[in-house]
Amino acid sequence: MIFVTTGSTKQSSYYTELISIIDQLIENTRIKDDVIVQAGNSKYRGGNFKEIFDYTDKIESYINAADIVITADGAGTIFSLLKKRKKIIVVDNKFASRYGAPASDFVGGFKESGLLLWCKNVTDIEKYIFLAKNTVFPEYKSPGNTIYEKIVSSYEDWNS
Amino acid sequence: MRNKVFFILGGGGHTAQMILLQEKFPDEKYEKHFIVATGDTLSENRVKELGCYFIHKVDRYKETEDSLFIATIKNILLLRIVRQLLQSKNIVELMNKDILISAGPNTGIFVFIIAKLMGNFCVYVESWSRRKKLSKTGSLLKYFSNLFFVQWEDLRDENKHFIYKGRLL
Repeated sequence: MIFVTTGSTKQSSYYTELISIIDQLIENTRIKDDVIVQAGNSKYRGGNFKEIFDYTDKIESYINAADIVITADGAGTIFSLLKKRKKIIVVDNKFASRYGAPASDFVGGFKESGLLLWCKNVTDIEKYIFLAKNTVFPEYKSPGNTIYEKIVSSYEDWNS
Repeated sequence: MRNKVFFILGGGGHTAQMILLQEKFPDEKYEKHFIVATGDTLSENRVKELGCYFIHKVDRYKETEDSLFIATIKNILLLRIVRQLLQSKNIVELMNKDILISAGPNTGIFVFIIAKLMGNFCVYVESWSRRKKLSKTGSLLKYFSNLFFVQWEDLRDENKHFIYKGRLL
């Protein structure tokens, strides 16, 4: 199953284009998988999807069931997908970038490490779905952290 | 007596990072307070799921689609800035040389600055989504932080005061 999630961004037209292209690919049997879409504010309805909805509080269950996740969402979503070892296609969020949202700041690094695919132009999405199916992604290894320990020791020094 | 620790939540990834960090602070040693944006029910519900903690609300400084400049103009024209300052002051009055931690949402910028000026221990953790460039909030709050963490080594090399101690996820 392919799960497409647009998050809660208010810039809807870009995702309408993405969803529309995927719909056409299903229509033309270029995509034969089940596709479920969380369309958010794009208001795209109907089409050839197995399911399409605005939002859900069961997003985790959709993600768990997905083989490939196409997301335009932020860092938190991408990290949680990495931890779940999902095949991730990040769709460049041009609108968010304009407002300083950060995806492209770190997605490039993950792409270089082969942890995800980065589709910068939605018209190329078919190619990236094909690539995702035929790619074995490495496991994301967190460096761990000692942020808490540093905060507590510095606070105790400061407070003494 | 337990120390207080205040976490600023800000939707999506910011909240996720603070939720992960707060888990490390043991309840028997720290009284946890969460500062959420008015209307951010997702973050509020996540805190409620954690158990019985203190929740404080402040208005957002800016909406995602607004630039910092436009947001400032809107806030001044609509006198929202007065309300935000009052809300922030009320929260800071609960602090007494306590810890305040932000992962960078614009919610709570005033809380952070006022808390620092009032002599609290202010910790800024730049979001994990910032690998090469600080957020605008980070660029401002680095001047008001006792500790300033970045979560990528690329950013640490930019400034000798930036601390890299790994990544929350």
